[in-house]
Amino acid sequence: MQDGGEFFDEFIDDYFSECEEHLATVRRVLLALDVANDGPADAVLLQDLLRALHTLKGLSGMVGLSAAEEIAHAMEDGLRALPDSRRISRTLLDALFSGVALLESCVNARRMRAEPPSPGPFVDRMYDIIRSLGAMNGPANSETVSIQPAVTVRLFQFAASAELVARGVGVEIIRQRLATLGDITATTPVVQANGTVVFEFAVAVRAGVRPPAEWRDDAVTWHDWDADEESTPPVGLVVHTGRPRAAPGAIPSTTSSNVVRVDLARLDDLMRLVGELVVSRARLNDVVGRARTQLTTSVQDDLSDANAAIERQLRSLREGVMRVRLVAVNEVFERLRFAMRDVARETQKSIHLNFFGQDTEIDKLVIDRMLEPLLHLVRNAASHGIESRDRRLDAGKSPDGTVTLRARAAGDRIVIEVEDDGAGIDIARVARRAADAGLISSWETLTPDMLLDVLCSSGFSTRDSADLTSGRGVGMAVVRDTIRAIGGTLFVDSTLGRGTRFTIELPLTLMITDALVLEVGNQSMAIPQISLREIVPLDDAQVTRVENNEVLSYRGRVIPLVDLAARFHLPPANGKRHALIVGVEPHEAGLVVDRILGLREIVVHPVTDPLVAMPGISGATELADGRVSLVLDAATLIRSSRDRGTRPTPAALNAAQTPTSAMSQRISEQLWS
Amino acid sequence: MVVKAAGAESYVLCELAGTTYALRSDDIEQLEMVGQLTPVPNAPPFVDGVTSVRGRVIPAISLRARFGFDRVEHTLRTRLVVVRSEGRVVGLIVDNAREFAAIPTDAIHPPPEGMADLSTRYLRGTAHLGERLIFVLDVTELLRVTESSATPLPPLLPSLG
Repeated sequence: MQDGGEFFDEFIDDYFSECEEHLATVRRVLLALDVANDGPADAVLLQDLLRALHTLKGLSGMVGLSAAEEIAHAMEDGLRALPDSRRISRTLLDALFSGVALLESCVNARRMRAEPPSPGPFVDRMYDIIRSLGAMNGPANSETVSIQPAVTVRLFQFAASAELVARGVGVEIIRQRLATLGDITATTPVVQANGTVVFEFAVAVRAGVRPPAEWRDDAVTWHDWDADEESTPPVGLVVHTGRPRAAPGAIPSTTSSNVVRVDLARLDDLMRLVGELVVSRARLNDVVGRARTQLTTSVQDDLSDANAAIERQLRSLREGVMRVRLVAVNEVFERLRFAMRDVARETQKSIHLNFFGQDTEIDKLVIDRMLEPLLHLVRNAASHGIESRDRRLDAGKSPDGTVTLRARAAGDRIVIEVEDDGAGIDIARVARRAADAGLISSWETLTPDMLLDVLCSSGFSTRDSADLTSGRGVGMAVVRDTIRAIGGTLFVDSTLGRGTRFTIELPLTLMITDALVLEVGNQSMAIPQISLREIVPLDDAQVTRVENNEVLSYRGRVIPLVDLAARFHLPPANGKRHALIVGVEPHEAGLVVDRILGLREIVVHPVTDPLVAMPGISGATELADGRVSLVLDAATLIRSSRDRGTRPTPAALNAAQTPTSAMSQRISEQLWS
Repeated sequence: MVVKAAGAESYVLCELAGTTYALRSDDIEQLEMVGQLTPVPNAPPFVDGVTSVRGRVIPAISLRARFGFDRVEHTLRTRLVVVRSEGRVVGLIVDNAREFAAIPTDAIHPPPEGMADLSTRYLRGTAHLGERLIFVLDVTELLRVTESSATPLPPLLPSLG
């Protein structure tokens, strides 16, 4: 491969990330065009598409990736050959779809330093289509633009000032005014050399609309375009007088240009440093505590103040660094939409893909690794979960299937759900097949976790039970392994005839968190404060044994206890025990611990090596003395209490109903203060 | 470090119950004193726990336990050999690790017949350094074998119990 040394390497990383952005735009627009394929294509969308392709072409040319350049060029020509009706034929749309796939493989080939696929066949096919459209004489003749855009992106600047604000003219007012011209596609505050702030608005101005001249009196400026209306090419047109943009031909549309791309590795370094600082401060804190008695009161006070200030600042620092790493899950969701289209076409099904909570933010690294597993789950839902149209009608369902993706933050975790309203998994049938395969005993019933184990055991497939879960075997194993490797957990819920839901719980990020440090069987452990509801000193009178398990009467309810010493095969405690109430009704549990040591700020290191990644443990942390403590995973521990059948019987419930809410002493408040 | 001779690779020699083992220098990230070990409940018996090495928390394997020797008290010479393979970083506890040696590739002979089949998988071969017999370990295989024996891999993991 050609190689221009380090400079080039740095540049190529930018190339990849820019390509990703523009490819995403192309995919998004194509999908939108695909949905609205009967009417004329939306002019704004077409502009976005042309702009993205044009930029891709330019960028690829600059890094010498001529295959991608040719493909993007052909796609651009295909779009420019559209008839005035802007009606995109199915053939052209399909060609564009395969074009973007090919573009993607070219870019990926470059990334892997492999030979890119040949653009020849695609380019030939595209020009065949163009010729059949009859709208073009030659492929290179891109000056004969045949799209007359209904809108053109124009740039407006507004210089805010105290005087204007006094007159009631603020940014919001200007924004509203500009919105009357067309959609505002970007707003960028620009700090001027003299310290004042100028807002740049990119507005997709509708054809024929002009801003009233008196706006200029309110410090709004724009380049008059009446003069150059005719001579300026409509595509990629922006009257731009400000700073030069990063990429030639790139136009501020929906992405603002005051964005800095940072290598994730650098952020990791930063995060590690912050982590080390947190540990150092904990040491300092210890020393301050010990030195207290030997100091005068005023020195003591100063020290405490300084110490508290450092703590506060550190907290803001780590939150700041963490926020930088967060991106909206939408980035990945949009790519799933693309995959879904393929599956829907292959299987001849009509499937709606719904998103909820796509603004939920998650660590960039975590979500990047989630793409493949999510793709797999969505494909599975579409091809195996959703029934055929006829079957759905027979079952009294709407003929169109629905796959729903939900993302939400839940305490220190992010939860992503993939749900379909398809046939569901026939658990009895899976159990029979699993028994036949010797995976379980024939008398066993499958709990949800066991069901997942069966689905994920490599080689297991209910292939001859046709539509249900065929082919899920190996793929699901990979899905679960990938999720585990980043410290996440996978769960499945399925109702026969109603659908299947996969739930993925992920760590929000490399974590620094407040945690309660406690002791179990002489071993200190930590649990994130956010998972804790209350600490209850255990009183034998409140504890009832139900079969092999203990339950606790708590605030008028009965909740299962998880004896951590027993669970972790550690020596049982002697003396008074405490229960940490975790989870939310009805999925709650009391974790039984020996001693409470106090609240600390901890840096959680992932513990993902298969040798030590045990259920119930989400990571490890280094306490001030340099010793490593394990960090408990409340979610898994709650589930373990549920799945072992600790759900108490009504009789046990009655037996355990003692007036307890008064007895459970709320010591958490004292601890937090 | 030892300068690589043509056709020879650099190894770290460690001792374990009186036997010398060689680990390829390229697989080794660092040699450390054994620090505080935190046992991990339900981990395989040969895993002594997790430990913190330069800001990372990694598993530590007792190679003695792994190879069927008795554990001994750690001394000043006990070392944690931090190895990296296939993206994993794991510490191996050995009695000592004091020597580097360049071993020519053609001086490494296949493991002798009749050795327990499990161990031959992570034994790349044997070599002689003067009079000493040296067992050359394959870190990648060692970790792989360790992993598969860690999870006893019944098709159904006992349900979190």
